[in-house]
Amino acid sequence: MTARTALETESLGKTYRLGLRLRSVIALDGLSLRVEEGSIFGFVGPNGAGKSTTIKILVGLIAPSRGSASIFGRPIADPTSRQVVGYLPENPAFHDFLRPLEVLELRGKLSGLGGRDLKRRSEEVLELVGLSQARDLTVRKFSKGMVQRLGLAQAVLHDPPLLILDEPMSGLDPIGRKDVRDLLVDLRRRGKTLFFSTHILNDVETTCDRVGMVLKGRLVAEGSLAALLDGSVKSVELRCAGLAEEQFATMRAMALDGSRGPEGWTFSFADPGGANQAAGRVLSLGGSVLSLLPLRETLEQSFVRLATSDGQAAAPSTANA
Amino acid sequence: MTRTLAIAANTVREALRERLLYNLVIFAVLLSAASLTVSQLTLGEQYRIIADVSTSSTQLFGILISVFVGVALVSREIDRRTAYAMLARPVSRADFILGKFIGLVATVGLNLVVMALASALVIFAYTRSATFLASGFFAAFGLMLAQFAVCVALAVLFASFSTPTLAVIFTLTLVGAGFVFSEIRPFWLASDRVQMKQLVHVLDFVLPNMGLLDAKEALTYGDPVSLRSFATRLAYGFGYAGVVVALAAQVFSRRDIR
Repeated sequence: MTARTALETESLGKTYRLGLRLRSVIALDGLSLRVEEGSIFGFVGPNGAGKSTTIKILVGLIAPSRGSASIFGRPIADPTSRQVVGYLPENPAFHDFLRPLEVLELRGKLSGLGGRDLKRRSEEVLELVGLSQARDLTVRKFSKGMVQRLGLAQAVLHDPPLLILDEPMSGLDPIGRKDVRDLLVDLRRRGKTLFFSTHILNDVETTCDRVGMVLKGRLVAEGSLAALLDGSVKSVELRCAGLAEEQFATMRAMALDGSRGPEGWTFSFADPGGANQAAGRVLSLGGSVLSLLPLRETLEQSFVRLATSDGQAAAPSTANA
Repeated sequence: MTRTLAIAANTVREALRERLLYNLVIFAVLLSAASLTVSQLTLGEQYRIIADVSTSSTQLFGILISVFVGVALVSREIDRRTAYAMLARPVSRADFILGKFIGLVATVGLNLVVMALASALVIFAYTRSATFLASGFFAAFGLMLAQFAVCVALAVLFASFSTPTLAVIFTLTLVGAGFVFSEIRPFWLASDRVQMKQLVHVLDFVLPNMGLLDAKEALTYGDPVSLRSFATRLAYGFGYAGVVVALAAQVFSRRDIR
């Protein structure tokens, strides 16, 4: 069965006219993508690539210059399309004299909630993002991480089926980032669709089903993580212990690289054959093999490869899997 | 409408935290009170001085509050990005602008009540009688609300597309032109030059006729304003403000919130 389309863009583009001479700056150029209901879509790219512009177009803050987009089949120009969207801006900001429940009350009313429903939901989402203890503080006294959590709370307040999050892990400490990652996965488990931008590729690798890479306003690659990454083994890492200094020199000569770590020695080899041979040598020299690890391309390496390749501005690649 | 009122209520709440607003209201009240002393310097015209200073200070500071707070509360929503998560909800730009306008008019209305009460107390302290209430008091202060609504609407319009400084300059210029034009309008109309009359018709349409909304003299000279005249002038003021707010909504709808 084909999943319903939560979000779709077709040749979406944005050109700004800047300065007195109305110089054209293309922020987004022909972006076409489709996000299936119930998936987590990571939208990655360096700063200034066009991620936030895309997101702001989707939630109606910026009008597109070209192309079209729809949310669950409704065109984004229709404000009612945003009824089914929860949006977290990059570096969210709230009226700093309000308390978190007051922030949620205002946002809830704007989404059509009211009365007891709104109160109950506000309490629930405050608990969900771990801000229940801060209910009596005004936003002015919040740390950056707390503001980010409040941003997430207001995004999920009206229980929207689609969440559009601009850098959701920004400003969070490692524990906060893990909490948010867990929250995103939990929301997906509840059937929500998530579309989030980030330039922290580790966040994408650990949470997303599909990824879109944007560079200089163009989508250069889109597909499942497995399909986007070159799955071949790039090198093999051998970690061993119990070697004497002079034996290290012998091993180093066989390897591409070698270094001393806290637990012993680490060598890298171009292929599994060379690594196997070296492992046998370690054992024959009286040492012990701690691990033998094939290294594949990470999303970061894939991203850098795409960003630095000559064809980065050429036709986008789509990888389906 | 619930969404518009939610934005309006939040605007009132935000505006009531503005220190500038309190400073101006306190200054206006102090000036009204000072008119009791200033009036001692004249012979036989003390009531006129007291009524003039009280209404003029209320009008001046009310206009300043309308313009400065009006511009600040719209510009700030964009500059501090507090509007982002609001406008990304099923809220139209027109809802947002109308909510801001209603909230600001409610705020200046509250201030007007405070300043009018202070003026009433000062006048009562001098006259020891409440007869002034029946002779133009409510018309003078009621039409001031329409004046403030026009100022707020212009402030919202200019703040919806320009920087705060420019928005204040544009608004004060138009309001000032509205006062000046209402003074020179009769002379231009009496002129023999046909082009002058055409210009007057254009300016009639563009500029707010602030003189029409000014009934201070009714209180000063004890000259009551008829209910019909009051209602017509009030309708003109709020009608003008309504058109400006509709224009602001149109302009803001086209603005990219970057």
